[in-house]
Amino acid sequence: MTLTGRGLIAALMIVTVLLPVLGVAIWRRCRGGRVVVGVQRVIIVLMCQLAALALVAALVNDNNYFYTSWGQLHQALTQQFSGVGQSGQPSQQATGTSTPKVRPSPGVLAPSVPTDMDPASAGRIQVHSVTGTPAQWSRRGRLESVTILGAISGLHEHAFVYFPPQYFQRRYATARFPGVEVMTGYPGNDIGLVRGLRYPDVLERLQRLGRARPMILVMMRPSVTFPRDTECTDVPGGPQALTFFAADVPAQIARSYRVKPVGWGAIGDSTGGYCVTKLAMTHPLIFTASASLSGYYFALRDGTTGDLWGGSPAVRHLNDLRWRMLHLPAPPVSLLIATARTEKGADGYTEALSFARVIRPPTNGTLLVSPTGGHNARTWSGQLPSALTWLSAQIARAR
Amino acid sequence: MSLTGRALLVLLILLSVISLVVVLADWHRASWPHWVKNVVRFTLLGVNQLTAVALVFVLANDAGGFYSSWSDLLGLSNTGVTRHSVHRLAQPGPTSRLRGMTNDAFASPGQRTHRGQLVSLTLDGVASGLRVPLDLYLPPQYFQPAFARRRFPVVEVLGGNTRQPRYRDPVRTAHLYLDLLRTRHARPAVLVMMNSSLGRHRRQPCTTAPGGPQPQAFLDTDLPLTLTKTYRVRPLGWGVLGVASGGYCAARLSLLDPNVFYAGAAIDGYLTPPHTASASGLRRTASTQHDPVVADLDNLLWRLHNMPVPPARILTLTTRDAAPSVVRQVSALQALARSPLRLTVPARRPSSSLAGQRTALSWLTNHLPTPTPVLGRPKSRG
Repeated sequence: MTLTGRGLIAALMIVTVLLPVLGVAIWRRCRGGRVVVGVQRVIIVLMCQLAALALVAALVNDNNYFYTSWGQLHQALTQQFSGVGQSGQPSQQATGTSTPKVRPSPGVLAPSVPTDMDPASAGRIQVHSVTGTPAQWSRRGRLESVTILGAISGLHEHAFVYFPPQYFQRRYATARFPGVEVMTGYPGNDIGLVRGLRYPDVLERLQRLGRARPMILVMMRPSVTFPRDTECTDVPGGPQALTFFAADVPAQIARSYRVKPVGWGAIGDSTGGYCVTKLAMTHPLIFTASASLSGYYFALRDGTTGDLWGGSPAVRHLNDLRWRMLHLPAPPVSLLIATARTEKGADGYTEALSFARVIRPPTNGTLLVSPTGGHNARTWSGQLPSALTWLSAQIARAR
Repeated sequence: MSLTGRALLVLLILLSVISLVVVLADWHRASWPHWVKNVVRFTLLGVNQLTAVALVFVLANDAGGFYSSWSDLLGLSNTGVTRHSVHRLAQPGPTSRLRGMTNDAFASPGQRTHRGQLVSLTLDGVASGLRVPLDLYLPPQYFQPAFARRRFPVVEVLGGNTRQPRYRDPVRTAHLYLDLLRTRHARPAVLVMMNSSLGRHRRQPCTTAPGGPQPQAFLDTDLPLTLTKTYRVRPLGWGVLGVASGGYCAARLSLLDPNVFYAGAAIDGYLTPPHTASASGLRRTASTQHDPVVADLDNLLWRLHNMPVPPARILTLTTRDAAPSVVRQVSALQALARSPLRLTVPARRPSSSLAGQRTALSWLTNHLPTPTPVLGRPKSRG
């Protein structure tokens, strides 16, 4: 039984109803003194409550795609992160440099444009499956399920890549399209961007209405070495997550498809918002604009990240976006900060405003405030059309 | 009662406790049939389940700030209708500015298709915050009709460490390169010549600067962004050639940014920058000199030993004038280099820096992508 899907929910529903029934059945069978009977009955109540909590947790997870497999959940619950230090022996697990066994897939597509880069380069894209038939692609676009192996970082991750209908139309046969990296929060899975926030559907509708240009979406989760939350950071002596997202992904996609190698956009929610803002601020040559939905702008450390900075305050500062805006030259990129006026918490309204206030030229900043909402998918769905329209306009402007 | 307020939390705690007490008390009348008593118990167990779920939800929501109000939770507020307020923060500021003029002494406009063109420029980089004088050499092919719609690769040439703000002798380098082109030892590329001090008399220009102007950003961001807007050059797949501290830049840029700098050539370049007090001009908001992590990250040998090896192409040349420490470091580099890094260290050492430049320019331009066609419709800059 998969962790997401109706099977588990149905099973948990049955258990949630069954346990109280069983509890009633054995209520009067509890034997012993008053205290012992009391303890037994408390246990019955707790079991019933646990079942109900498990059912609700499964429903929430199913809705938000936090964990999509039992393996992920197990990893998340059992991993401890103290961080990677300065020792000369990087742990294989931490750097994630073990090369995956990439099997040749029968569905591997030849790149449609001959690349002039060295074919022996270390990265590649492995295609697992695509949607639709060739006849449908020029009308409905295409969604691919791929694994991207980074040439510089050596890290690999699954991604969903969306191609708009124009990509397959004869009129655009030699055109290169702009690329956009789309990120989830932590924990999260890229399937949530397709089925939950529905990025391809929203973009396709905006394209039809003429409010956005055709763009290629590369949808990923930021935790490239899951279960560790690397916060898109180049960890000293550890996983080079920033390099993976900022350099490897755009280069690999541009090598394999008709996508521009520069002038990318990026959009994400929560941790994804922090990541995409950092991508644009640290790599203005590759990324021209980023949109952050309920993101944060400080360098985060908690139980799921461990020490991402090798103990160095300087490295921590370099990952603190507010610090960067205050102490380094402002980068020539466009940043969208989206939040909700009622959003509380460390990545809520006050955090967004505090970062927005320090944005200065030549950085082009825009603040998008929803009157109501919070740190949830419904709020982001409401902001998505405006954010994608904005992103498309920035990318077009920078050409 | 607000979804996120304390009143709701207190209420739910009370309800949880009360419902637990009630179910444990198992109160009933003796006259009730069994099934009624069981139904009551079943219902009370269900109520306990509900209070548990509600309490855990409110605790989690308070901690994570997911839903800010009842209407947010229940989806009653009309977030589907985009009535967001949008604020423009700060006016878009200056972009990098490129100013300059052609050096007609080198080649008159009529001679461009045979001799190329030398241009003296100054670039005010916004990403780096630096103003750097440049000398740009456009090869003859740039002006020939056969290449009229082709984008050329660029080679950044970083002059040795002198106190002068400008590159020492762009005319000599241009002649040298033109000679290589004519004898087909090199392929056509645009040369951007500057001093490795990048106009600021810095002795270690490419080390991490955690505060203030960012010299490395001049080389890997300002130059590519600005030159692609003004000239027919590729945005990526550049080469970089440097002498001494410029050699460190060349090695570092090709190791850290192999997508932007496809190949790098270092002449007498160190790989472990000496972090001495003479690195003046650095506004210290956090001290690199005393930060061992940053020192390690700036040490190219440490990086090759402890981090994933990048798919870079590097040529290292050591002349007879090279310091012994540089020679040692290059040997160490050879020992550390492994696939996918391709390191070339010629057996024969160049006799001078000039001879080294010849070798390096020839090697670099032969390893960069050839001029690529401008794709798509004319106004696109793909």
